[in-house]
Amino acid sequence: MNPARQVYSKALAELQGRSKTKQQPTKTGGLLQRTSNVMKQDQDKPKEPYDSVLDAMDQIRTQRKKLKNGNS
Amino acid sequence: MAIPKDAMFNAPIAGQMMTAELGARPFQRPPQYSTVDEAMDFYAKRIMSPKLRDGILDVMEMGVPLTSLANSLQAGGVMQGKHTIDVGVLIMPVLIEMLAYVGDEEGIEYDMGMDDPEEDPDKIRDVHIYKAMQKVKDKMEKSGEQPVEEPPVPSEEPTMEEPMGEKPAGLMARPSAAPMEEGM
Repeated sequence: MNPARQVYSKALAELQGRSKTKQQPTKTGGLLQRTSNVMKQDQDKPKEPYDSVLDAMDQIRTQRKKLKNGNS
Repeated sequence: MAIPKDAMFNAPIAGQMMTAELGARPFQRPPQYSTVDEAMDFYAKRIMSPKLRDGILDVMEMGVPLTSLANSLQAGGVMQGKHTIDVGVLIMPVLIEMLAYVGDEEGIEYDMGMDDPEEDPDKIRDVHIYKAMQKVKDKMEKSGEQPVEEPPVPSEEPTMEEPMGEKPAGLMARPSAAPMEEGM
């Protein structure tokens, strides 16, 4: 099996999963306060190499969609 | 005469001539681009360069899947010592997307290579058809034959057949059955 196929399908799945991640809640009081702090910590983390790969992939996919919409 | 014990160890190892010293090959040295971002920049510039772009488009038109193309590209980069294998594997999805973008930009129908060839064993890939046609063309060129583009169309012109009513006469004419019966 072609390894590129495996890697690409995995990256696509992760890209779709990433877009469904939780948004940071606007409510700051109550139990949600803790969740908010955790998410802030996540944002402060340095990016893993694979994250930048997914970011680049997402950007190119967006450009491709724009290109297709422009042509049609 | 006694052979010194060290003599047998001075001989080259079998197959040594086919190997190179450690560090002689580019992939045995530290990579030129050590991070994923650097490697992606390198490939983005390379794929968008007009020289490589034309070649890539030709290969894509032949029906080579983008996954195979991306795999070859990154393997080439590893061999040239541009990046390590793990960086190459990491950036493969980006390479596939870049190639697909180039294909979209030029309006070429390409194969992403995501369908499993084992699902439909009867399906013949375009690359194989193209290769087979090239082989046939080369063979015909070598033998001096003209490649047949279309089957010959039967002509409507009247043929030069002899009329059935008249019997051939002369010394070389085929003898009919009747005189032989008469002779017997």
